[in-house]
Formats: sequence, structure tokens, C-alpha cells
Amino acid sequence: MVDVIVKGIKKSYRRREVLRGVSFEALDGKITVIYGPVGAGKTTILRIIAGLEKPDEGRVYFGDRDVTDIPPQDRNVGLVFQTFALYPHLSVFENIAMPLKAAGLPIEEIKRRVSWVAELLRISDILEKGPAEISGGQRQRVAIARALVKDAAVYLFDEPLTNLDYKIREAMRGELKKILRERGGTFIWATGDPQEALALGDYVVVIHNGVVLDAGQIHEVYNRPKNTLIAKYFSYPSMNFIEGIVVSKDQKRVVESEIVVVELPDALKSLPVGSEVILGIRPTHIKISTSPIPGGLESTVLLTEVLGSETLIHVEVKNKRLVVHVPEIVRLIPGSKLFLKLDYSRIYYFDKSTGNLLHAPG
Amino acid sequence: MPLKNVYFIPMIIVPLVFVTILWYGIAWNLYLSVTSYSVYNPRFEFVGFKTYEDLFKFRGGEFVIAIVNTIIWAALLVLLGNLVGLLIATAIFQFESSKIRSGLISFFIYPLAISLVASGVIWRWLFDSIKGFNVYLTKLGLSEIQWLSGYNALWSLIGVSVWIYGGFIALLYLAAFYNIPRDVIDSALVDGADALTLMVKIVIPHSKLGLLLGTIFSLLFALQMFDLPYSVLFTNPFTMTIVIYMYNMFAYMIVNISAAACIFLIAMSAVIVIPYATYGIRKWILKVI
Amino acid sequence: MKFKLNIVVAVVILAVVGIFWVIPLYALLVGSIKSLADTMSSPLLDLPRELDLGTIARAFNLLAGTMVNTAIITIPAAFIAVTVGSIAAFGIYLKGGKVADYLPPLIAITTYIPYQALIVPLITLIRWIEEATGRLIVLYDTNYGLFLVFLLYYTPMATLLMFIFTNNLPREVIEAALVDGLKPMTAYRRIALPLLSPGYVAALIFILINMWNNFFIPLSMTRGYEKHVTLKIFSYVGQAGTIYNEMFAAALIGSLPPLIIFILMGRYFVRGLLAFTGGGR
Repeated sequence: MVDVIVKGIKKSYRRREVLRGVSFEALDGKITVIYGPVGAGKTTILRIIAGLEKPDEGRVYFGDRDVTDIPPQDRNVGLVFQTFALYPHLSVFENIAMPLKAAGLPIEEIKRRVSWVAELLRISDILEKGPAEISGGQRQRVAIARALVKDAAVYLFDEPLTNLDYKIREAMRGELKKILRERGGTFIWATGDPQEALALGDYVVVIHNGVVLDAGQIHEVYNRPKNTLIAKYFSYPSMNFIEGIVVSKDQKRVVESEIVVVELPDALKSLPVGSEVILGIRPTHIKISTSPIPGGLESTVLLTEVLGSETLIHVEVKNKRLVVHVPEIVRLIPGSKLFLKLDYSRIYYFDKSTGNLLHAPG
Repeated sequence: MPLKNVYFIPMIIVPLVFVTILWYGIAWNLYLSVTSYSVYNPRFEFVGFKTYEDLFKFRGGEFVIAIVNTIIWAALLVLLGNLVGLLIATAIFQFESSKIRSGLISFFIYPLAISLVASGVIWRWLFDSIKGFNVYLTKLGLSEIQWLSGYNALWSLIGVSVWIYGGFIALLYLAAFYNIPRDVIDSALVDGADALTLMVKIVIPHSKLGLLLGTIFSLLFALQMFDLPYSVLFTNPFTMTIVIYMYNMFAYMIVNISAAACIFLIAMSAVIVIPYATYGIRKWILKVI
Repeated sequence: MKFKLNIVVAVVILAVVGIFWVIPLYALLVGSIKSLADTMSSPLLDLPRELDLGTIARAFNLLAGTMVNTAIITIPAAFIAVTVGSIAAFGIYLKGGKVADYLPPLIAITTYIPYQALIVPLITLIRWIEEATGRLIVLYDTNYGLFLVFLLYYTPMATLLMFIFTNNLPREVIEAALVDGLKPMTAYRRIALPLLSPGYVAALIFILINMWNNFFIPLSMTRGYEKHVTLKIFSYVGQAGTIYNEMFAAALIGSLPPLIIFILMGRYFVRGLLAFTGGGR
């Protein structure tokens, strides 16, 4: 049980720079989520931590031990592959037992530990079956069991839930968080799903194009995105951005945009007139109504996306597209009118030229 | 995956040693070929390219005949081997069942399970002017063919080599056909293509891999051709290949000339085969390119 | 029954071409069981009027010793070549990087060079060793020497074959083995080899049949005709005129082991190869 420290990792594959200087820490006892879209380099980082790849530059430490040059079989790491990578010719029991066998543990101890972890992940009834005979969800649990059965320094999870149906995914999230907490250890979990990250993680490292955009307590980073890039990528659904300029109206400083006029919050009262600002509002903070709302905006519905038990509505207000999130199923006809009320108390302010956060709500 | 050398070296040491010995053999061949070492002159004197000069002049230019024969063999084996292989593969490919296909192709490959010497025995008698094919030719009213006399022998044996390797080349083409993505074929079928159009316009153009491998292997087989002509006609000049010549020289202990012939052979194969094969390995096996 | 034109044409083509494949086989079988009288009088391809299985029995007796000797040499040699080759292929697979890019072609080249071209230095080397050790290490014309030379030539080929199969292993499963703490050789034994077994067997059969049928190497490495079955068959060829039944019987008996292996295993071999190249067919 150690802290994992990653410093200045650079890695290229055949002239494509995948990681351009990544550094972060994953603390013992905490679940650190590595968040990033496809191709950001999450899998590469995990593989480097596991020892399956060597970084071109940079070091990896487990505690104060430099493990960068140590091969994977000597690092004592648990890794759950995105593709599960179960041994196809062995039974579930033998799959889970493999790391223990490799460590030379006595049979009785192996049996005990495998039963324990199988109990934990509720796969005790399929121990004799082969990987081909069980479902995707079960295979994933076997892969996790194989990692957790060890007494590893670090446990790595490479998007293990991505290949499952979303219903199973949601159920597994809660279950796994509980299991990991009880197990104890250093957990690093890679995912591209912001909801999964928020549900599971204590800390987050946001990766984009091979660099760390931000890292820290997950809710901090989520609620106070350092810049528009993070606000755009690490948010579900993606934040709406509206450009505007600070002007003076009725002796107050406001931000005037093509859609709304918003009064500057106290913290930003000293912003000079003429500053270019980007307003950010999450789709979840916009109320809708089919009849006009006082102080609201009139918009035209472009399309509705029903996702499970929620809906994303894409609308257009004066040539600007916005996305609205509603936590229930609604169906609207494209072209019909929809009235929006933005929650002004939840607006983010970003500087246009740098993209940096100026003010976060609440 | 990083693998420490302490593990890696022991794992590859044996093949690496052998490969080194083989490379060393090439180097030694070179050395021997520029000396005067032979049974007549058992001393290592450096004579430079004189050996090569001798190679071409020795016994009235016998080596040149061997080169010509080998080149003819290579050209015809490539041509006929690919044709026959493609023909067989195309025919087999018409059947849908993979069991039928496997069964058929296995049949055509059987000659490779017999040693070339045994094949030589069989065909030598099939070509016998008294007891072989000629009997049936005359029965059919056709004139006899002296299969094994003069240059006929070369054509006859080349034909036998097509029989031996044709099935294998067909397998290469069949594998190339299998490599064609199913949707390409399906969309052609949906567009109403009949079997002939399908084969000619789609399948065959997609089997460049088969042609490439078929050609490379045919060249290799032709360059290495020894067992068949030697076991049927020994050192008959009409069927003498480079390898037979080389072996003959070696048997007579004229080592330097033999080595020179070897170098010649190696050079020929290097020029032809190595670029293609190395490219092929990297592209298809290591999936690098 | 479908009577599609293409299938009919295909059948015709295969039948016509197939005749050329059947004739030699037929000749081999028929020629071996003819009686002496038959052999002297009738053409090769005529059916036997008198059967004489004694020829085959005689051939069997004469060849038995040589076949045993051949088996003693080639079977262990094939096993060792393929085993060593697959371990090496796996090692290169794990090592990755530049080594895995450049070493395989280097090894492959040695298999393209006509192996006969290296026989001269090899024999010279062997003779030199003999002299240098005062005839203590004799390799020429010995089983041991033949065994070693077979290994020398066929191990690189076996390694090359095993590359092909090893490169198609599911990479992450092997990586999982390493992460689970298995040392490379253990990972080979417990995970890679079981997954490679069809390829291993295919390579083994291929190399074994090749070794058994090899003519040039035993010819160059031994005196006489006793040590290898192809030499023994060859020894009949120089013999008297028209008595082909003895020759054919010898060729038949000598070819039976590889033929039997081919008949039993060949189909799986081919099916595996086609499935492997075709992916989803």
C-alpha cells in the first residue's frame, strides 16, 4: 500500500507523441481516476505504471522506490484490462489463482483467498467454468477478482466497465466502490465517462492530448474547472459556452452576449469594460417550459436525445446552439418552440483569451 | 513489453548460435572461393577472382550450362506453378464447404509428403520409353515421346516439379482468397456478379499476396533443385542444376570451385528472394508496415 | 443438389488436373504389388495380373533398419528444433522494440538461402574438427553428426514458423501473465504454449516430414546408404533395368511414415492454416 508517484512521463509510438510530460500522484487508500477521452493516453499511463511499457522519459515511484526499470512480473501490481484478458484455456478458479500460484503460495492459502474474493464479487458459483461459458459481466468480475486476489502495491483498472451494458455498468459502480474501500490499497481507475469518474473517484487526473490538464479532489476539479477545456471535457453533459463582453449598463457591470445579459457577480465587479468573457452554463442548470417564462429565452427545438431515463434537448436561440438536460423522458417536435430559463446563480465565467476560470458559482 | 536481457538471451541463444554458424558459413564460402584449395592443390593460397574465372571455364563451361538450366527451371516453375496453383485454387474456391476445400487441397498437396527421391523413382518409370506413358500413347495412336532424352529430360522434370509444388502454391492462393474481406465478395454477389466475373474481377486481383508468395517459393524451390534431377538422371548435363554442379565439384574435392558455385547460388537467391521476403515478413507477419 | 455452372466447371477442372495427381499414386501402389513376371512383361500402369505382396514384405525388411535409424535421428531433432524455436520466438515477442523488428528478418534470411550452399564450409568445418581433435569428435558419417546438422538447418526455419504463430497470440493475455507475476519461461510454459499448441504441432509435423524426406543432407553427411531412408530408396535407382517393383515397393514403404502422418494430420493442418489467414470465413 503505497503512494504512486509519476513524474514527467513522456512516451511516443512510432513518432506519435502519446504522453508529453505527465506527472501526478495517486495516494494510498484513495481511488484516483484518470479521466480523458479516447486516445488521451490513459491506457498508456496504466501500462507504464504496470511495467508493460517503458517511458521514453520520466520515472515511476511506488512510495520512495523507483520502479521504472523493474519488469512487470516483479512489480506486484494488479491490472484489470479493458478486454479482461482472461486465460482462455483455464477455468475461472485457475484464472484467479494464477497470481497466487506464481507467488508460490500453498494450495490451502490459494483456495482460501480465491473463495474469499469470489464471495466478494459474487462469482463463487462459476469457479469451475471456462471463460467462454460465462457472460461479459461475469468475465469482468473474474478479471477484477484476479487483480484483487493479490496483495498488490497498486491496483490498476483500465476502463473495465466500458464494454458492458450501461445498466450493468451503473450497478457495478456502486458495488465496486464499496469493495475497493473495504479492500484497501492504492487504486487507479481510467475512464472516459464523467459520471463513472464522479461516482467512483476520490481524486481525479484529467488528461487531454498527453498532458495533465488538472488534478485534485474530484468534486473540486469538476465544480471548479480551471479552464474552458476542462469544463468542456470533464463534464456531463458538456457545458454550454456563450461569448460576451463586459459593458456598463445602468451603472452596473454586465456581460452582454447575443442571447442573455448577465450581471457580474461581486467577485468580478472589477473587470474592466470591454473584457471579453465566456459564460458557461451546464445543461443541467437550464429549466424548460413549453409556455413562455418571465425573464426566459425563446428557443427552437432542433432534436431530442433520449438516454435511458433522461433527455438531452438540442435547441437554437438566435443562431446559437444550446444543450439542455432534463432528468426525465420528454419528446419534443423539432421546430417547436421551447422556453428556457437559465439559472444565473450557476453561471461560470471564463476569460476569453486564456480560457481560464474567472469565477465559479457557489 | 520490456524483457530483461538476463531472460532474453538464454531464450534465443540456441537459434542465434545456429544462425550465426550459418552466416559464418556464408563468409567461409566466400573465403574458400577466393583460395586455390582443392584436392589437387591442398593449400590455402589467395587467388582472388581466379577461382571464379575457373568456375566458368572449368570442363568447357559446364557451370554455365548449370546456370542456364537453373534459370530455365526457375522461370518455368514460376510460370507454370502459379498457373496450375491458381487454377486449382480457383476451382476449389467454388465449393462453399470448408471441409470440402480442406479435403481437396490436402489431396493436391500429397506429393510433398513423399520425398522427391521417391517421386523421382515413380516418374522415372512413368517416363520410361518402354514401360511408361509411351505404351498408352501408342495405343491411342500417338507417337512415342522420348521423355528423358536430351533436353526433353529438362522439360519432363520441370513438369514433375510443377506436380510436386503445384498443390502447395494452390494452398497459398487459397489462403490469399480467404484473406479477402467477406463484404467485398458479398457486395459483388449482391450486385449480381456471376462466378466467373467474381473470380476474374474481384478475387484474383485481390490475391497479389498469393502471386508474390507463389513466385518466391517457386524461385526458392528451383534454386534448391537437387533431389529430383539427381535421383533420376544423376549428373546428366541436360538436367544439371547449380546445386548438382556444386555437389559434384565437392564430391571430387575441388573445394574452391564448389565454394565459388555456392557463392554464386547465394548471390542469386539474395538478389531475388531477400528483398521480397524481408519486406513480406515485416508487412504480414510482424504487421509493422 | 445445386447444379450451379461454376461448380460443374470446377469439378471438371479438378478432375482433369486431378488425373495427373492420381496417376503417380496409382503407379506407386500398383507397381509395388506386382509379381516379378508381371513387372518384367507388362507396362507400368497396367493392373497387376499376379499379385505378389512378397515384394512389399521384402522391401519392408530391407528398409526397416534404415527407417528406424531415420526415426531415431529425425524425431528428436524435429522436437528439439520446434521447441527451441518456439521459445526463441516467444522471447523475441516479449522483447519487442527494435529487436523484434530486425532479428526475425535476419533469421529468416538463413532459411531462404539454399541450404545446400552452406554444405561446403560445413563439411570442411566438420573435417577440420575431426582432425583437430584427433578423431575424437567424429561427426561425418555418424548419427550424431547427422542429427546436429539437421538441427543446424531446421531450427531457424522452426523459429520462423513459430514467429508466425506467436505473433497471433492475444497480446493482453500474455501481458496479464506477466503482471500476475509469472517469469517469462513460466508464462511460456503455462500460458503461451497451451495457446500455441495447434501451431506447435503444425510446425512439428512440417519439420518432421521435411527432415524425413531430406536427401541432400544425408547424402553429403554420410557414406553409404544405410543411415537415412531417402538414401536407401535412392540406392535402388541405380539397380538393374526393368525390375521396378522392388524400387516401387521401397519407395512406398519409405514414404509411408510421412504419408500416414500427412493423411492423419494434414487436414487439420490445412484447415488451421486457412482459418488462421482467413479470420472470419
